[in-house]
Amino acid sequence: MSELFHGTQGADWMFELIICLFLVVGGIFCLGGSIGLLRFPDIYCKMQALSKPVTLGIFNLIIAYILFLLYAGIGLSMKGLLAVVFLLLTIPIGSHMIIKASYRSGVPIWTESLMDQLAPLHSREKDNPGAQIRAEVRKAPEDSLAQDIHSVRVFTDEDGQHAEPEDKKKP
Amino acid sequence: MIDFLVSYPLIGKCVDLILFMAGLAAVINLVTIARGKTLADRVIGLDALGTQVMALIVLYAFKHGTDLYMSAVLVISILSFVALVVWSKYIQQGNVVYPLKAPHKEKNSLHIEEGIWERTQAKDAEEKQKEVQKYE
Repeated sequence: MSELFHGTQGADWMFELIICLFLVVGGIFCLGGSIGLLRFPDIYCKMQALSKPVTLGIFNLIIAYILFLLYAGIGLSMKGLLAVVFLLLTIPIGSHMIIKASYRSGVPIWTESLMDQLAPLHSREKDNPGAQIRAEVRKAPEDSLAQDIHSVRVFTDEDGQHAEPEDKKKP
Repeated sequence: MIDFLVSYPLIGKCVDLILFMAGLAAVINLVTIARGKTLADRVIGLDALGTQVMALIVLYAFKHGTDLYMSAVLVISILSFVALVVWSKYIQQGNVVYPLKAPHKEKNSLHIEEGIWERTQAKDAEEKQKEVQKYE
């Protein structure tokens, strides 16, 4: 025990263990988020796999850094806290903007995905090229469940009343 | 090579391990950028690459034991965020400041009626005249 830990007082070894835990968790999240980029099939899934774990991973790393500087007697680092706050705010917003832009430009959704809740609101716009592109590209295989769900869509007229759904398929 | 963690053996070993993991994650992001099919793939990969570089800088600062390197982390985060915003504009329109493609208009979005300012001014003028006529 005295070989691994530097602290000689009572509970200093616990503090060092906590710092090591934060470090390891942060590293695992960073690596896992990047591996998710290779494995997921679609850009929309990749954003989910990347932005959340990477943000949390670097959050943990900077927390470990701040705690270590406190433990070693150097002081409380205000720049670290500022970096943490800024990263937590900006990375999710930026990735969401990219995904919204790619949706409007017509990047197709993975064929096995069941739900597209933004499609009825988006397809009403005439100048939107993304809706037309997506309507052509999206084709689900006939045996999958996706076709039944996507064939029932509710459109609202300009008055706000529900129109009848098109192509209602019954099992 | 400055190593502040010589006297903290367990933390030193952890930092070496996490350096390897963050470097591997950066290389995987490079693979995604090279292999990506859409533009948004590569943009997100670049942002993640910047974030992994930030993680590496933080781990490097562990070894030096100072607070100086967080300025670089802040700069990289700000630049990557601004780059993401600009990329989103470029993907939708052809250009960033003014649109090369036609901007799409949303049908049921909030819009201001024409002539509403003149109508409210006229109503206020009428009410003011009524109040003035009471005292006359």
